[in-house]
Amino acid sequence: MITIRRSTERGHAQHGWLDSWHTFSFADYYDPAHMGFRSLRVINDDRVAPARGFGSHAHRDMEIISYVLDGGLSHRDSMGESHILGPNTIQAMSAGTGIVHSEFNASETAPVHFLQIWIEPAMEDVKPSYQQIAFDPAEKQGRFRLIAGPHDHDANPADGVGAVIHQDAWVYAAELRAGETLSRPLNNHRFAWVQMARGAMKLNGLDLAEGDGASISAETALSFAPSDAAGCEFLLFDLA
Amino acid sequence: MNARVVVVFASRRGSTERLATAAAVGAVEMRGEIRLRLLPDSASDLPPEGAYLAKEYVPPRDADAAWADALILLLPNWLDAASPDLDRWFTSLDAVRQSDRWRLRAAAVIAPDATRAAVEPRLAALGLSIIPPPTTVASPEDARMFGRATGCFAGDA
Repeated sequence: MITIRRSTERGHAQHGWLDSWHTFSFADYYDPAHMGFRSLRVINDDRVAPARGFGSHAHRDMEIISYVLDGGLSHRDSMGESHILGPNTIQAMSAGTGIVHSEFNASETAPVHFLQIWIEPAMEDVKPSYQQIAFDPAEKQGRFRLIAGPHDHDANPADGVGAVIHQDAWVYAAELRAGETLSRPLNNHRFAWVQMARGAMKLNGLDLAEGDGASISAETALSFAPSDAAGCEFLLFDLA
Repeated sequence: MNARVVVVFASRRGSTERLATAAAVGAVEMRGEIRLRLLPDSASDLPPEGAYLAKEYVPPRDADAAWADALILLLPNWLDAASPDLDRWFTSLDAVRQSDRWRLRAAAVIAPDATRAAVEPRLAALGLSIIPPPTTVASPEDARMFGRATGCFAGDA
């Protein structure tokens, strides 16, 4: 079964410096029908104005993945990590027992567009950690590039090295040009979420536009094809 | 009950900020919620290495005293206990206390001994229970442990 979450139906927070679309309940956006999907708790589609961002704030017991689509994101945290994150770089934080971090647009002139993803960990009180992995954009072109997976995973080396998170959740990015297609089997006891990052696509023949998401259950095969010449980019979450 | 802790600090080069962040982490470890606030600094010759501080932190707000159970106040060596910036903040705190929005019950101070000796009575005069540091707070690890103690105290009170 595939249920589409249209981009325009997401929660929306427009603060001037921040234009944020919430796939699931977040901050002032509360919808009991959209509290998350399996261990996937948050997908925020954030556009932040130049030189602005989220001042120091805390997290606990959450796996936080940031995936930049355009621009640069400056990260500082209580573990002493200080980085600028651009496209095709995976950033994953295990908040564990507690961390404080800030996220700012690294540019004084251009906006940054990124997805922030929260996945509930399988256990509490893990030691906080930070991972940042850069990859060649060719690794997601026409194929699934691993973004994150469980610490005891036996990942397919062809999917690349991803961040390790404390949950049975696999996160992939893929980019398709016009004419390219992808397919992926899904074990029938698994669930999946597809989140459109850029462009439009057909998922098992169903139309998904930019910003749309789709929950998937009781499906054994997934097919992906861009809807037009512009191509598309999306994230796939394979969930327990 | 999970404590709400507001961490207020002054910093120009980031040293006290690191202690403040560590104290906040300690409170989060005790499952507290935290807010971090930077005291305004009216000095005209602020060092460039601290330029990010004003961008990343907002100053304390009246709403913080209406939200938090406990305050952790961190003051560096260079800040005079009679500082006008600090005095203005105490005045604003007192104004919130006079309203029906006041929620703060306890305060912990990380500062040089002389500063702490001057500041703690002012916090006590606001009706706050003063949480004494278990040891001299000289490192982020010390600050983290003090943050844990404050988070625990505020959660139990």
